[in-house]
Amino acid sequence: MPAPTPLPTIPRSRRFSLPPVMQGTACEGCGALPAADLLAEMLGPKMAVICPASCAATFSLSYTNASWKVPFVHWIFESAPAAATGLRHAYDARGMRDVHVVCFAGDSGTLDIGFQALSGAASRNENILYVCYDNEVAMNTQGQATSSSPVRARTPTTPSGVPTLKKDAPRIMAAHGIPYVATAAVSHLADYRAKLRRAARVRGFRYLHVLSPCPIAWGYPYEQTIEVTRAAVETGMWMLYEIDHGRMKLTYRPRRRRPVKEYVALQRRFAHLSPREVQSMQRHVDEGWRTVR
Amino acid sequence: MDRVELLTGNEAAARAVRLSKPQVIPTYPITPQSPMLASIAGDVAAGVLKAEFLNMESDYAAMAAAVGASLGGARVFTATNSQGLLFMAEHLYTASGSRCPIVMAVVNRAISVPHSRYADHNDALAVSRAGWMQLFCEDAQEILETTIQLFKICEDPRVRLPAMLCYESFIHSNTAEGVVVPAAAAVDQFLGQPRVEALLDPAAPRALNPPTPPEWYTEFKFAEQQAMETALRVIPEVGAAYAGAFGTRPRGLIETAQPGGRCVLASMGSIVKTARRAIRELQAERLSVSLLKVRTYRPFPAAAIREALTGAEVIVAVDRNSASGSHGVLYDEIRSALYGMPDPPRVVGVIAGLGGRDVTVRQIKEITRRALKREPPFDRNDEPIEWLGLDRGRVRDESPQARPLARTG
Repeated sequence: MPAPTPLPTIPRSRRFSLPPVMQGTACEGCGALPAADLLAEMLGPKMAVICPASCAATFSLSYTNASWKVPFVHWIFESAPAAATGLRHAYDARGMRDVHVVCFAGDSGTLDIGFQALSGAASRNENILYVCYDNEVAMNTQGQATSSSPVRARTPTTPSGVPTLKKDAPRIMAAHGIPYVATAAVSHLADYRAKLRRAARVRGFRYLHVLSPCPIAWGYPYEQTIEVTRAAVETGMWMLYEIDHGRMKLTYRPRRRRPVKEYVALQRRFAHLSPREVQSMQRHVDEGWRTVR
Repeated sequence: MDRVELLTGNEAAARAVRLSKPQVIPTYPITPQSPMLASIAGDVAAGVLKAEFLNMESDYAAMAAAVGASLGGARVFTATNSQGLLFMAEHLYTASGSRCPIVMAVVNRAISVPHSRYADHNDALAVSRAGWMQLFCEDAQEILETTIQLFKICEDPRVRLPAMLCYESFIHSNTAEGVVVPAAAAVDQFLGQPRVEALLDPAAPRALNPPTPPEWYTEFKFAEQQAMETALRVIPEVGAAYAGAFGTRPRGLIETAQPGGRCVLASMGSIVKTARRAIRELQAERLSVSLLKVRTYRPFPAAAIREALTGAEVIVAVDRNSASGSHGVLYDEIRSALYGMPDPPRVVGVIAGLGGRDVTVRQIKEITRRALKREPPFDRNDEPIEWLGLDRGRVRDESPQARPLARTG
């Protein structure tokens, strides 16, 4: 991750605001910032946040200033849900059942190194809210591919493109039989807000997966974060839905899906793709949409 | 009322846990710690112990949850050994760095490869630099008393560090002995309410573990060092308070028996028990032999050991551990503690009991006689170290025992 922008020049996009509960030193155009902002706004102040190694952990805390105005811990990479389990039960034992225990983690800390702990906590149906902000790379270490990187995307560790499909995390989490799973995107804040509101009311393990683009890794001008995220949703590359106690529901259906090539064209990480390869991505997206009604 | 019960080491630890009332117990099973966890789970299910008993998905997660629970202000107990302890290693540092007063039983078991379920101390010693106190027990009575005492030691505001309660696989864990169990009300009074600071408290929000610049990192490490040095005072203090409250003998950093001998046998854990008998028999042969039991290995009680060994001629450090390319830990630590003393005793080393191999009274007597007579290898100034009961015939390149192989089919 490049040097964080100093505090006085934090970009404040007009498309989202930074409520006083959460201010950060993230890069310009960081998609994780609105994801964290709304989380803090909707859940706070009776919450504690466990944030494993990630960009978010880095921009949340400097020596000795914290961006979060709630209990926060910068945690070890692969075990946020396990620590959250312990914290949850300590609060329960001490009669603090009304305090939300929240994990806020990147896609690598969630789906790769952190997957065992995530699956463990979900299997136990711990009363925890887990929010994965997905920028589709390990950006805190300069953008290496993760299992959440989309197929064919160029990253420093996959110079000729990611060879495999993006891991379908929300469905894997839903397969644990947990009460609430939802996807969200930082372009559709009302949708994200509604899902946070619902998640705050459900007891048990709740999993939110928020598409949170990174201008540096994806290769687009920083002021286009919302536009790129919206393109992901409008082209159908990223689907907005929730699975509430087993019932799946699309929460947003693009009136007419825009072609995938419009999403791809916005980003340097796909600049090497041939029209045939883009077509193949389009077919994959179309197939995905045939499975939902 | 105190009661004498027939308890295995695991049961003694479980009984102490019932009496000490931890609020959160994150667990993951491993042989031979599992029967202890089953016993505690039974207590929780029966309502004898009011605690959150957590079945985690790994040893690593158990320690992560232990730290999480401690940060939430709960008194925490867990248990592991060998592979599980190594798997936890990263979070051992999270615990000590966050100054979490977690008590963990470590049922010392040899580390794979080669695979073994039996006792030695290499698991705990592999993480002896992780900022945890480490106390090694000799028998089931000591396991029970040390468990209770550790909650008080760890939660002492002057210390606030985690601790490992070490005892040996099968030799202690699955062997029953008569154990005096104190009354629950007396233990309540001795321990008092948990004194665990909730660092993650919504009523007073704080952020933990910021990226710490070089200008600050050293100070945190020094604070841990100071806490360890304070523990050198607190451990015997709590041992004495326990003895006063329950009428037992005081337990501290070290223990000596038949002091003033020319030769001193130094060891930790179950070998101490064997050495006690060997020493009695050697004294009947008019040999001048004493015992030094190292109960507290971390913090290492160098000053107490130096004092106890003043005037001795030769120290036989019997180590139930090994580190290829180095020495047994007691051999090294004791030599280091004696350095600079005027006319220090010689220190010789014995590597014994690895992977659960029996260490007998006869063997201890024999090496003690040989050390006193300066027989090989104890005649050497350089590396006077004996591997007890070693069969050199098995250690040949072509021998299957030289590598951990078994025939298939």
